Amino acid sequence: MKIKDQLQPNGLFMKMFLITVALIILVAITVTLTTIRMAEQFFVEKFSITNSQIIDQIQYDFEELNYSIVMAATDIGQSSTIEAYLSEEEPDNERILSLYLVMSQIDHLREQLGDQNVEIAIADQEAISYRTNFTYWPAAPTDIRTHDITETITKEPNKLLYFQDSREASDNYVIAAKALLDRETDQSYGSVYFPIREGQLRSFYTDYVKPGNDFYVLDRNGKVVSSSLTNVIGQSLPELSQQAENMQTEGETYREVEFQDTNQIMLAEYLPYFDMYLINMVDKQTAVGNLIDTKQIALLLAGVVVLALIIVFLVTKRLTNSLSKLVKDIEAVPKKGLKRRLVYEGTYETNQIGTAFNSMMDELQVYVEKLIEAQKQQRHAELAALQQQINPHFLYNTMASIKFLVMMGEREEAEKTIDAFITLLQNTIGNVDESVTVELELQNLKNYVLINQKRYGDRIQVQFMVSPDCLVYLIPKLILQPFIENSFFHAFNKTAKGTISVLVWKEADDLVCEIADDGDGMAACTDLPNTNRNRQLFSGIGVKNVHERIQLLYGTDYGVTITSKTGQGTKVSLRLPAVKEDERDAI
Amino acid sequence: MLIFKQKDSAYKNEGVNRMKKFLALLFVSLLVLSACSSGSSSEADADTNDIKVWAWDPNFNIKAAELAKTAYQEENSELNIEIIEYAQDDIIQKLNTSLSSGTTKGLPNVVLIEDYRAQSFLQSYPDMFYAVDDAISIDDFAKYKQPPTSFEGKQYGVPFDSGVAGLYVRTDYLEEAGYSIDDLQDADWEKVIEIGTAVKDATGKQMITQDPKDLGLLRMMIQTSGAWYLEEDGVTPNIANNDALKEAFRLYKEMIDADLVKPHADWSQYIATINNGDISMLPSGNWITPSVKAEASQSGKWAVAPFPKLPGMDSVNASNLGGSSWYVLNIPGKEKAAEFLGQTFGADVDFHQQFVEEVGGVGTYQPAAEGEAYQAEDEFFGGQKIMSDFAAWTEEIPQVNYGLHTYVIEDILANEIQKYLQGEDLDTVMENAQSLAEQQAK
Repeated sequence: MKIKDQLQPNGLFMKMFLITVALIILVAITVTLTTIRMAEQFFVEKFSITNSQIIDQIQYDFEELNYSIVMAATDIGQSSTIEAYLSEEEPDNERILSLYLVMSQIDHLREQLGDQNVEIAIADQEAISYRTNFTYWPAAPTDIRTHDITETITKEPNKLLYFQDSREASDNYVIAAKALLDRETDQSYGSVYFPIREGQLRSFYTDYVKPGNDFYVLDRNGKVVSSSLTNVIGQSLPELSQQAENMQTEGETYREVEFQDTNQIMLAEYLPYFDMYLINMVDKQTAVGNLIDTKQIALLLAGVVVLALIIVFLVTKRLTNSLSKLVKDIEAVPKKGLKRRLVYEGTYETNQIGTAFNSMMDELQVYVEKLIEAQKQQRHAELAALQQQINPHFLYNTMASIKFLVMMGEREEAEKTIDAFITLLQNTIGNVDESVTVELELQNLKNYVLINQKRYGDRIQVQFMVSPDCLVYLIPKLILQPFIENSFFHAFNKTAKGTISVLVWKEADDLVCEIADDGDGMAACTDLPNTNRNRQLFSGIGVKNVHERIQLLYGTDYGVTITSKTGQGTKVSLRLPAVKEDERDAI
Repeated sequence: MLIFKQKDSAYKNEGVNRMKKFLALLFVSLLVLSACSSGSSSEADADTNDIKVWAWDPNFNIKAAELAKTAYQEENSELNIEIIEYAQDDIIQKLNTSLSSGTTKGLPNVVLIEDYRAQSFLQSYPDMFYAVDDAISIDDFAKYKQPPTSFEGKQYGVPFDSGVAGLYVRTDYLEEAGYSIDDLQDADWEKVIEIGTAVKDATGKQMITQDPKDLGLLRMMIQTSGAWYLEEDGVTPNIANNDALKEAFRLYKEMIDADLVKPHADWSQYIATINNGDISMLPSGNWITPSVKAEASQSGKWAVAPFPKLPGMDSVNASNLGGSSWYVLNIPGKEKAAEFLGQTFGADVDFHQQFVEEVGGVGTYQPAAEGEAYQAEDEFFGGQKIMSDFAAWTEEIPQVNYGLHTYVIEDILANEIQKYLQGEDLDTVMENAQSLAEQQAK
């Protein structure tokens, strides 16, 4: 089976294959996309749970920090020593004692804050009076009086408020600040500040920061107080705080947002004490992109598809192969004869078709054979009938010739003629065999010639040249007689006398008989004369019948050929299979 | 040695992670195997050309380090010296944290340590420091610098600034009260208080400013008589029977009672007090000079007198406050770091001249004291050759062993002195402080 045939666009194989390919790819892509989508959703879901827990943890740290600051602020607010130091005028020699107490107290509170990088500064109405670390915010102690933070806390005196402030570009602080109020008069006598290095806030979440997973702490206005991205600290990102506020009011744990031109998963938590939002932004591409290795999936997908295609190719080929082969074989049947049978294999269906076809062919063959046989028998019967019909004129004339000889007193001649006549009749009418040996046929011919010569004289001579090894071969009875007769009565109408030669020889497996005369000849005659028009002088078998008969008996490879030229004579050649007596059943 | 960083990827599923871990493990073990088979020379000192220096005070120490860096790199350009500024407390904390845990990761090659604290580091972590005997000759430096910077016969510190103390005086205020700078030559504290009181009466300005928690003044006072918080062994507290300390306490109370002391709470207030002209005298280390001179409008109004001695006892007109030295940590690059220090702070006269001219600091490298820069007159101080004076006083500073517990004891004293100021008996207070110190300073 040739590939070219299989690739015919209308072929079954091609159609099945292409459809299957298309379906496999479609299914593969659909399943993959769905899986990726589900994986993404699952991940985002899972991820938001994990990160909410992280955020809860961070929030807890923030609240811890807030709590310790609140405690410290409360202690400072309740300290009469500090209140006295900040509000009262006293001589320096007493002041140095109270300063020591204040310093000790604040240092003690600072120690209680531990290593949280929180410093304490207290200020009276004018300037900072004491701070635990002067390198911290702010640089100059007198700045504080006009500072925005001081103004804000003076307006909201009972609250501990948080502010973002930067001293230099990379020196960022979050300041917790509270105004200190006299309990009796409600008058502010000073304020306390807790500068917290931004790095301290960052340390709460820095362990969770990964590429594409960033944290922001924003105040209500969107100002970045702390972030894992240090360059945005101090900048304003109102869109984030807006989103966070929306999420808070709608109670969402996470939402997917477009931020800085990338798809991000946003988690937000409000830090009530700080009045800030803790926001976790996860770059979806980085997070989910890591999860799903597109290249690997594509490769896997391609691999599976190719594998499926190979299997489909092979199976389809196998299925359609038997069918195509069947079709081919069926196509070839008319060319190669009814005897050809299909060799089928493959599926049940093709097997059934093959079986059906073959049994149909069997029946057809039996039928055709029967038909041929019937026709053959009919023809045989016809020929046999013709064979048996000896022309009565031949009988009269022969009898008349013999009477004449007797009258002439040529007793010996008459006896010879009667013998020949008897033998001829015996062999033709008496012998019911269809085939006779060449020898017997030659004998019949000789007798026939003798009878004719007795009657018509010796002007036509007949000579027999027969290869001795051919005598034993069988030929159909009276197969040569019609041609002798034909030559006798038609070849010498113009020519006064002549010779008819009968030649028999073997050529390979064939027996060739030739009857040649040197008589008148015929003009461009290659066809056999339609002897139906002519009366047969001896039996019912004519020249045309001979050819028919030979082909009927031996097939189309055999038959009669005539060559003739005007004035040169006619040559008739018969080709027959060389069959001996003991082989005749083989035919 | 290779450090494999396991990238924490919560994003990836567990299976992939496990697989990766496995591969990583395989990879690492292969590397380890190959490293082992090739002979473990990887632990040997990486020949680094990067030297990190930690110091505090950008006006003084950092500037000096930058000068040294510039001077050294003119001839040794291949060495990268990075100078990093931290607050002194941060440096102490970082050093303690790292050294106590036995790790040197993240530590600098060179660190500045105050002389008062040096012994506690050297004695606690002797293996962590690199001796610089080969890089410098300690005899070139002021003698009093040797005890704090050496340990068990080995020299660890490269002495840096002297911390030599002086009494900075507002001559204009003194004149208003009828005194001059000459009255403060070879003076004792009784004389100083007398003048301070007179100045306050005349101008309303208090004499000195004081952080109640910082007893630097007392330290300076007692060192004039060669005394310290600790015995000469550097360990045993010496308080109850310390006459110098008792005298210092008495003088301190006298000044406060006379309302001669203006309190300040931190460094910036301290500087502000000086620059605002709130005080008439400033007993301090020479390193305060740049801060004093920062207020240019007061040029010509200042002078520096020798540090007052303690009255009624063996005492000299010279003392010390602060002062620090450079130390080389025992980490890769130590040889180069030591060489850097030795060729600048320990040898280079020109560098010390620059240090004097540009930073205004007084070094402890004696050969440099003969240089021209030391002889320069300073117009801010009325034409006084203050460098020359400081250099001279440096040589007279009594040598004491600061020992291990200077600041531990000072915290106790700062608290106890409050009681004394409020009227408790001095001997009781000192006995109390002695027993507290014996409990805490072990």
